[in-house]
Amino acid sequence: MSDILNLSGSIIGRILLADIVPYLTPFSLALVITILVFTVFLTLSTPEFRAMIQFKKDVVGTSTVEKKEARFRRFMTILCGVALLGVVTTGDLFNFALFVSLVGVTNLGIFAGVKDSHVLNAAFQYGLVIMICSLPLFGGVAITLARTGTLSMGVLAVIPADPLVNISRALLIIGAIGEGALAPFFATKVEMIRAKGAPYINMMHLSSLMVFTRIIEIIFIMG
Amino acid sequence: MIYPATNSMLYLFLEIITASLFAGLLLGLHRKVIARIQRRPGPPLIQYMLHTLKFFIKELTIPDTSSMPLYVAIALALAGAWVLAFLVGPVLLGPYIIIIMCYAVHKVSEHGIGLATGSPYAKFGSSRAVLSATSEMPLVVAPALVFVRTNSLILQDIINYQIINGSLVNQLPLAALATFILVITKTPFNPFGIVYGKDIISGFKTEHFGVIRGVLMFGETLAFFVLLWCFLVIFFGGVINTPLTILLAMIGVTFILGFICALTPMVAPYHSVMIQWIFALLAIANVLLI
Repeated sequence: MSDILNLSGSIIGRILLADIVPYLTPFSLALVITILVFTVFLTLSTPEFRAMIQFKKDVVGTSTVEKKEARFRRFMTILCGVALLGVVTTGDLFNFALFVSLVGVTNLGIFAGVKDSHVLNAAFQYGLVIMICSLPLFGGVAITLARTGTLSMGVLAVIPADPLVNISRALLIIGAIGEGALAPFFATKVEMIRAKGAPYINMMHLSSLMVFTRIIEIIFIMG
Repeated sequence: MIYPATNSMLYLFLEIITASLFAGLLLGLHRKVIARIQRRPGPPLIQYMLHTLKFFIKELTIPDTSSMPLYVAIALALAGAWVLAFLVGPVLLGPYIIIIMCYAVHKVSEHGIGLATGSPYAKFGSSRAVLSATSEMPLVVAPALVFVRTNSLILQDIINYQIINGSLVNQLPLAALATFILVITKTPFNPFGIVYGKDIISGFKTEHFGVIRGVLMFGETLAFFVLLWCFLVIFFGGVINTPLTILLAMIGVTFILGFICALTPMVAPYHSVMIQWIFALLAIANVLLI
């Protein structure tokens, strides 16, 4: 646990569940509060009216997200928030990988309802990336289990890293940045955010950075 | 440590306000330095502070096209994130990883602020915010190197390590340089400020007025203070660890930032990303060399 204490502060609470120990530190508490706040106000927000412009002309009109589409994307936004809560509170590496995959799927869902071929094409590319990146993500988990005999972060924190664990750390990073559409896999994300529906798009950006912040902690813990 | 930790909410509130006002003065000094280099008299030192305060008494207008309550809430989220970072950093000397999280919330907020208005100009700014988020590798690389060296990311532990072993800038000079680049990116008129480029009006803030703009500027002022403080304490903590030395160092670094911002043009968006990645890679090379 010493690495967790040195990284994230003292343990505020934990649920003793064999060697799978979900725990709460000041860092994970800050993440939980941030995700809850964002999920609530993004869910309550109405989509914006996007001003359509043409060069040498004044604003020529506005358009927004249809009600049916908005309802589905709002549901995906809530689901993404729930998956993110799992990502930041879990103390088990396999659960972490599962929740990160769920974040990827819900992000894809947020854009699946958009009726714009550019956005749908980008979402398709992103779907391919998250499918491919699930291999290094779960591969990293499998190698860690095979090498150390545990997936509990509390136990992993006291096991010294060796070359195989370092490989699994690298695989976990690749998996997480792929699922979160982070650099260098962010090209599709830039196309996807052309879609209307600010609250839902914002959730995708939030999920990317929260997954990234959490993976940093996990990589350090596994050291 | 600049501020004593306390349980009094009123005292904490005063700490936040004084930090924001001091950072406002620093940003005023920064503008003055730029002006003097360009042989202009420049605005008075309190100009940035007055500019922020002015918005708190201006009329609040909300575009009809905006996404509500996102339009208001996201601006509060940006300011709230930096208040949290201030409390965790200078006040409590707690986990640095929470400040990294606050920085991530800042980037999400920049994106959301631009999108929530429905304005295409603001959207340009928010798209650049997404692009610039990919370039902030120094934010992650530098703490990783500090953790490898000190085995802790608790700010108090990092300071204690430096008091015993000397400042980290001597051991990780390129990591310090990478973090300094990060401080530059949060300074007005900086060469990497693609989010605020004049070619896109006021970037993501184009459609924000009145008290909401004031809150945004307050958050950005606090962000400058916290990042500058973190840079000084994490890499010069062996020497700069008393309130007076920190304040003097902040003024000194602001002078240097003024020179950099006055003498360098704004780079193109992709170059901005590339340059910041190069500095992050240099920081990694630093560890391999040692």
